[in-house]
Amino acid sequence: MSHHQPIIEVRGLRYRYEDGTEALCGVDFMVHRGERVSLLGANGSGKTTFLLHLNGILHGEGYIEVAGTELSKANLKQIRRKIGFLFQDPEDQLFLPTVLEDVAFAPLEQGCPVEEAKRRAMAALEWVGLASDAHRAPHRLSAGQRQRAALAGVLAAEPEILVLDEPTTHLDPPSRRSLLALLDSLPQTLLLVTHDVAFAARLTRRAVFFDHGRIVADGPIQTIVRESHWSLD
Amino acid sequence: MPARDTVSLCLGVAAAFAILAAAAISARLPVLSILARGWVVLPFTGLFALLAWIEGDPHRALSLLSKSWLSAVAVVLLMASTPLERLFAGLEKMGLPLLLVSVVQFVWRYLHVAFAQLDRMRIARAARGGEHRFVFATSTVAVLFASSAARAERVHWALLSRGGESHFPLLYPLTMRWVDYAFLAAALLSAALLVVSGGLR
Repeated sequence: MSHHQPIIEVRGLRYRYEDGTEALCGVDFMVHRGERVSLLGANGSGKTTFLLHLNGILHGEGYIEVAGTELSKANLKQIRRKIGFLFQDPEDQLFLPTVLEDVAFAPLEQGCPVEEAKRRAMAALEWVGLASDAHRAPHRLSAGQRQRAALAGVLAAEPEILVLDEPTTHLDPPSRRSLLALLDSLPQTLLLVTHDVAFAARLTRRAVFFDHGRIVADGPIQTIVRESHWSLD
Repeated sequence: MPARDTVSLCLGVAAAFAILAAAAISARLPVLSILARGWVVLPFTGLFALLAWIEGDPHRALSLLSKSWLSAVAVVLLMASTPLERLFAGLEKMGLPLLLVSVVQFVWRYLHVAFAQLDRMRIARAARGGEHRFVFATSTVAVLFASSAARAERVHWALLSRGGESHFPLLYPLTMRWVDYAFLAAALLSAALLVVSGGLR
């Protein structure tokens, strides 16, 4: 498929919480295959709510298309195969007793035979440098290892798009550096929600800025950070 | 005939004991430690056994003690020899409702997360000069409950995002090996003998 073809297209996305608060007020967004985009903005500006719409966890009003398929209840499973979602707290994501079983979860859910699921899980663990920890319980790992195990669980599903929600929150600088190197070597389209501007600038060229449920700026990350006064200086 | 009953009881206990000990040995577990852990139920059943003895029914007292001890040993053995995910999958295969299996599985996985949070809250309270008071304990439970509910929602999102539904696929499929058939046969035979002899009345 062409690199100029949008892999995600969102038009007029609106969402209200149950208490009536408007979380997304008509978001338009497009990203091309292989592109990397940072989603910046204050806490509560709608970034995570927006991401949770891309794989149908939340349902708002508007049009969403992923890899050429319009998102609907009928094709949720198919769409979720295409988007790998890395959550902020890996503890939420690692719900099986051992790392290997957790990483093999998505391939098995996709219907892979056991041996193939195991092979994909081990390949993903090897890639994130955790092959020797495959049989350990997730709660025995350090925060950095947990984050890498969660990433392996996402990659084992072989998604076309990676969505990362605050992936550096629990990481010390060496773990952050190692995650950066891992992510930088991936070919997938990447959406990154973060407050860590330095991390975002190393990984992505483009950024969009969320404010009160709207995208108010879209462009080169340095320009967005400068114009929205989003750097520490 | 009480003496005959007691002999039957001893034979029954010995048979069950032999099966459990054989299972512990074949699982390469420390037999003595497993057997000793079975006595954890003694404070509970010991009281009832004592009452039965005082009532003049030593056979019933002995029966109560041995039954509860053997049951506890069986549970300890099961927990020590069977990985939890296989235990849960087995329960599911035996017809336990899926919802119940999933709840137990998630409780087990996230219990340590809840305890870690409880510990952080205790340290934070102590750091701010808090004391052990009932009002703190109740509010701690309320906060823990609210944050566990929020975590449950996030875990569910993560499960859905990875294409999951409501049950966990097994990486190591369940199969019956010859040793499982042998254990099942021995257990059934022993149960039949006990019923016929009236040993564990």
